[in-house]
Order: sequence, then structure tokens, then C-alpha cells
Amino acid sequence: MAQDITYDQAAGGQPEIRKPSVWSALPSFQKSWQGLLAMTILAVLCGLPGIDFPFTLDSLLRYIDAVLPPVYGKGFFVDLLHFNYVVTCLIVGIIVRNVIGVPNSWEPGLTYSAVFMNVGIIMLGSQYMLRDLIKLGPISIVVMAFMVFGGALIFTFLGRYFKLGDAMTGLLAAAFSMCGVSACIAIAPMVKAKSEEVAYAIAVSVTFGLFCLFALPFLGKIAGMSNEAFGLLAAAGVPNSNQVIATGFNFSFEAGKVSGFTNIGRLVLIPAGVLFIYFMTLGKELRSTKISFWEILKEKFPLFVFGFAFVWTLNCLQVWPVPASEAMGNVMEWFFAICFVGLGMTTKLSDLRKAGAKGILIGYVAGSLRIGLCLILLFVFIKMGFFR
Amino acid sequence: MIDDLGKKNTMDDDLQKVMAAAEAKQRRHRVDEYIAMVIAIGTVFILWFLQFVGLY
Repeated sequence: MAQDITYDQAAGGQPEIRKPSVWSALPSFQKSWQGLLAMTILAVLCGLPGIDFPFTLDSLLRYIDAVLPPVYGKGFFVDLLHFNYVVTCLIVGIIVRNVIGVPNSWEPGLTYSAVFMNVGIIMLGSQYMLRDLIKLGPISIVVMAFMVFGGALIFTFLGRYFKLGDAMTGLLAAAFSMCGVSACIAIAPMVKAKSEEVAYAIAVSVTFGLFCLFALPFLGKIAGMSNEAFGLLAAAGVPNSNQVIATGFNFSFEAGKVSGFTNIGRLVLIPAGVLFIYFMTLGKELRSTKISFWEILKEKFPLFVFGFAFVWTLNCLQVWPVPASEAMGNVMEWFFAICFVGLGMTTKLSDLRKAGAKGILIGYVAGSLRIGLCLILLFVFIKMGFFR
Repeated sequence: MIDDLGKKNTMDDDLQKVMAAAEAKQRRHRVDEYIAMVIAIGTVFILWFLQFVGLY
């Protein structure tokens, strides 16, 4: 890692290690513009919500549905397969990556999809009022706390049962219980994971999330789940944050709003979750890393939550009148659409091979158990009359 | 003995690589959050302003 030479060092004093600036982690605009432009153009061609642009994939699918005879009395793509902007953006992204191929010059720009997801989540604040927070806030915190710590326990148990090793168990527990790739990388040095174990755990969580993204909305529609219940299920069951949002919006706009909001609860719990997994997975003799709760809190706490709180507070104070908040809802979906194209374009189907049979088995069994656990919890809440 | 030392060095190198990746990811996360806050709050105020001046 590059270390800057300080004045003291140049003057012959003791060398001082200066931490690199956070901005050094960002690829420059010159390197990123091609990927950014590609994501935006593809999102527009897929069809952005709220814009009646005729030359889009969405318009084409609607036209085909109107021209072809109905299947079971419904349009094939839109009504039966529930094709919406989420599905089209993702599928187009996946096809571009895995069939056509992505030039290397696009790669830095594609990493900005996480920025667009954060932008969308902050703007989600304009769609919530105080009553929504009172209604959803306590339930989401309870569900998320239960799923983060309960999920970590499930993975710890299965990891020990299948003799996966402490590092791999910790990685999978972090990836599935918190926010997928980020949590996995964050906990890797603490559990002393090898680089191939990190790649393996990421591959398992990403492929499981991809499976959930398409399968859970079908399950939800068949089970007749309400938007609130499905939004909570998506946030609790899907590993990666952008996959959580995509799964929610794939079900409905309202479910997407709930999953985006509930996901914030999960992100806030990351520092506590990281510590919990560290102490659960590693034996006392292996805990050589000195852990400071405040250091972890400072490093891992998601700061953009304050952005959400700011936009939400102004919305509660009715600073945004109705036409403006509606426009904010549309623009929020545009940012999510670009994020979903980016998500598709960074999804490598070859990761399925990388994950291997044992990893897929354990990851998918434990991931499905977490979803089952979440369904039981939601059922209890529904019976208690918290929501439909 | 030499083999063991070599193996340990490779493991240490690998751990250094993992730590560097985690640190880089953490920095990227933070900068992504800063940029997202600027874009989101900027967009929200632009949309409010456009409505305020009666554009829609």
C-alpha cells in the first residue's frame, strides 16, 4: 500500500504512516464515464418508470402481449411473468455481461451502481411520513435484529456441523446475515480468512441473492403476501442490499419502499452483527485481533442513513409539496433502475461454478432456513395484528 | 522447517492482501455514501425548486 512521506520523515524524523484519503478509493470520472453512460443508456432503453417513451423494451413487451393471444387469459410477459422495469433492467444487464461481454473500460463506471442505490434509499425518505415510521420502525428493528443474530447462529451451527472452519463460517454468517459482499469483506481480516475463502463466500451469497430476486416475488404472489410482509421478507431474507431493493420493487412499488426502509435497520445493525459473528465463530484462543466497539461503530456505521433522516424529516414537516414528492418518487426509481442495470452487469454467472457444490449446499440450505424463520416471524406478527 | 516458514510467509502475505482489500472497500463505501448524499439531497432540492417556480 502506498504511504505518503510526511514533513517529519523528509526532515529525518521518525516516519509517520499517513492514512490514504477516502477519495483515493474513487475511480476518476475520466475512467468511469463510459460505464456510467452505458448503465444510463441501458436503463433508459429498458423503460424508466413514469416516462412514456415508445422505443423501450418495456413498450415492446407490452406490444407483444397486446398482439399475441393471451395465456390463461393474461398477457404473457407483463401479467403472467410479472416483467417490470426491475426484471428487464437486471436481465438486460446479465445478458450484456455474460453473453455479449463488458469492455474493461466500463468496469470502473459500473462500480458506481452502489452510489445510485444509496441515492435511491436517501430519496426514499421523501415517500415516508411520521406515521409510517411509527408503524414500520419497531417491527423492522425487531425482525432485523432477530434475523441478523438468529441468522448468524444458524450459520455458526451449520458451519460447525459441516466442519467448514471458523473463517468460512464467519464469512458466510456475515454475508447472509448482514449485507452480503460488504459484510463479508469487512469481517474477512478479523476472522483471518484467505482470499479464496472470501471469493467463495461472496460467490455463494451473490448467487443465492440472485435466485431470491426472481423466486421470492413469485412465492410472495402465490402466497398472497401483503406489500408490508413481502418488503420485510425481502430485507430479511436476501443477502445483498441492492438485491434486497430489487426483490422488493420486483414485487411492487410499495413492497420496494418497505424493503428499502427495513434494509436501513439491517445496515444500522452491522457493527453489532460483526462483533457478534466474531465472538460466535472464533474460539477464545484464536481471538488475537484487538477489537474496539467504538472503532467498529465508527468504521461500519452507514452514514447515508443521516441523509435519509434529513429528507424524511423535511417530508414530515411538509416541506415537499405533493407534486414535488411524486416527482422525487419517480426520480428515485430512475436511480434504482440504473443501479439494477449495474447490478446485472456486475453479475457473473461463472460465480456459480466458483461457489462449488458444498458451498452452494450450505449457503442455500442456511439461506432458505433464514427465509423460513422470517416467514414464521412474519406469521406471528400478522396473527398479532401488526399488519396484514 | 524451511517449508513451514515459507508457508507461514505466504499465509501472512495473503492476510495482508485480504486486509488491504477490506480497507480499500471500507474507504470506497464511505466515499460512495458522501457522493450519494450530495446527489440525493441536491436532486431533492432541485425538484422542490422546480415545483416552487411552477415548472410542474
